[in-house]
Amino acid sequence: MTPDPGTPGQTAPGQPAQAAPALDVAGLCVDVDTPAGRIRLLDDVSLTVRPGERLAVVGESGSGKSVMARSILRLGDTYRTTGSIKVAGTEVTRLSERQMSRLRGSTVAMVFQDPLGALNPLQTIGEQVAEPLRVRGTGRQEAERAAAAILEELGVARAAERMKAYPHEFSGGMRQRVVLAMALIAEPQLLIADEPTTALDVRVQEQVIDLLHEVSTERNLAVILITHDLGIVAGFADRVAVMYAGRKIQDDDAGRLFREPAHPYARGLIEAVPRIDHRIEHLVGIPGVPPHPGARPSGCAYHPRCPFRMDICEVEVPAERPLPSGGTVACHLFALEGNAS
Amino acid sequence: MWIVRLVSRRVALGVITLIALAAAVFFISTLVPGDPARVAAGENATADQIAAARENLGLDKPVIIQFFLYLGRLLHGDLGMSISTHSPVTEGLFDALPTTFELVLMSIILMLVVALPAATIAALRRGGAGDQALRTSAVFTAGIPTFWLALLVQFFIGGKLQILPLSGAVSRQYSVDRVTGFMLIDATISGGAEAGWDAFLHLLMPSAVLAVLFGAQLFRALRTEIIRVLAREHIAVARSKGVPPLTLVMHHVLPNSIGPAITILGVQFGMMVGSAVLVESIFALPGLGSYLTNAVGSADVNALLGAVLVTGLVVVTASLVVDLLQAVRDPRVRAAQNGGGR
Repeated sequence: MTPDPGTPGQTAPGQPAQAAPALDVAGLCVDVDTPAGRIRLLDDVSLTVRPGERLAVVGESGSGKSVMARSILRLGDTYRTTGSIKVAGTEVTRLSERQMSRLRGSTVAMVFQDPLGALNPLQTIGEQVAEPLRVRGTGRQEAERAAAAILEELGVARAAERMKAYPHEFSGGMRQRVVLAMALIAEPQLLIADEPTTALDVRVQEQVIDLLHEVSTERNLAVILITHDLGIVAGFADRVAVMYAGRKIQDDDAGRLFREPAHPYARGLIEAVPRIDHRIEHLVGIPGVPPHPGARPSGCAYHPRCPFRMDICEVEVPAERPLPSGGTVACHLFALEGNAS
Repeated sequence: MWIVRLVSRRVALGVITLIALAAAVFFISTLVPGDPARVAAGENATADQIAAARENLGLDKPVIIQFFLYLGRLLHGDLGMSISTHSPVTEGLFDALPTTFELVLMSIILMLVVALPAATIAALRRGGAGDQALRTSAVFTAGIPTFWLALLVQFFIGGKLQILPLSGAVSRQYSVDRVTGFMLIDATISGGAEAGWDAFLHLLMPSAVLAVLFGAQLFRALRTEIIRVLAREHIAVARSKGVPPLTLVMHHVLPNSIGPAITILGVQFGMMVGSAVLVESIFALPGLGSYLTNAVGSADVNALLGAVLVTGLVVVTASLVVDLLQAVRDPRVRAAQNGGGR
């Protein structure tokens, strides 16, 4: 069970492909050029996702969550990316566009926010679900059989028949199942779900999250769930990364993060979630608004809103430091604690 | 079934439109100065002969009665006799229409062949040098008056450079029997591929002139729509599924982008028949344009009415075809036709 720690400098034999993380992002920076100048959307983000692991990426809008998702699949045509993105061991920043389109769908796939907008209104459900296989040269009949099978597996009743229907004939929850089927049919190792439940009503949200959890377990599929809704994170994720103003500020085991959030921002986020077992007088929020990507504060971008602000926070960007719990945090408070202890 | 509903609804609407059009043109034409009876009787006719012609043509009856008599004949497909040529108007139109259709259809093909790829490239490379050049030339060409462009290319390409024939439908050396009325087809039947090619070359310049003006509009509409569609989420989704660029354009971008272009082409079809009047007279093509010009010139009311009604019929038919194409393209349009809401 435990890997032998005594073989330095060499990968353990017999499991080279398995050992590669589903996603390994190191020092990722993303800039865009706007008429107002170059804006940094993502700043020095590093992140690792193990095969089969479920990671939630949380943060307010504008924190860079979706930018990260799109840059992993290289869907942002205006992005200027530096740093390294390895998907299942393959460095995607160096791939040609053709190699990249072969990787998309089969190694890493994505589920988007609005299930209606995510479907081509002019093609049948069947055509769209089968497409990732068709563009890889699978025959029509075989691809359609696979599409029917995966739709059925994801809970679309009478799938073979309903494949002839068009997206507008499906309900929101069913559409999201279709979108998920499209993402999974070519059997990727990593699925990025960008706010997959935001456009759905609460009951359907739950079903979709449960479904994601189920397929992740069954297929040993690594899932990155991007959301601003901490309520759906708790039951789903193994690990949570918190983003703020283009940086990852905390990365920790889900249970520990909810019990004892280290970063003041993470603390604020968790306290802001209304809880059914607590009587509250009024909703708690974090004072202030997240900064615009073009006008981020100096030092730690959170310092204007932080109740524990120190002088150093305005000047120096805090580095990521390991937490005693095993996670990491980027906050000067913990540098002090580390020095003190 | 959506197609039955759609066609029956549009045909009923089309008939009403055409009757209204006939009424409008008929009553306006009675106000135009000039005496059709005098034209019909000939230049040196006596007063008695003119009066006889007037009675003969039914012009002595009240205008409203004249109109209903005209409508009654119209129901039997009788558009009356041309006063100037003394032959049935239907016959004249039947001779002229294929030439105009050939010209307009050829222009539309040219427009699509050029505008579709150009708009796609411009939209994909939005803001780039190619996009700028294409947009500038689209603005430029849309501002050129048709007749001026027609004379200009005729002078340079036909006259100075002699790349293409100056005018006419086919070279004199080929004697072409009328079979379908479409010169490209008839010439090929009568004189083989060589004559067909000759007819094609004759058609190229006039149809290109017509295409330049209308194609610019089509290009701009297509480019705008493609840019809009490219920003839609299902395009990003298709890319995330691993759809390669060419398949993406052919299966996802273009089918979703051509809706407005189809509508524009439908409207333009009628306008192009109108613009063909000028182009045909400059390039000496015996089409509807020449027929209409003749009719107006000789106060030939029946010919004029017939030509306008046929143009109206073309416009009505074009809009029906547009609706059919949209329904074939978009399942949501079909659903709406079936009364399925949404």
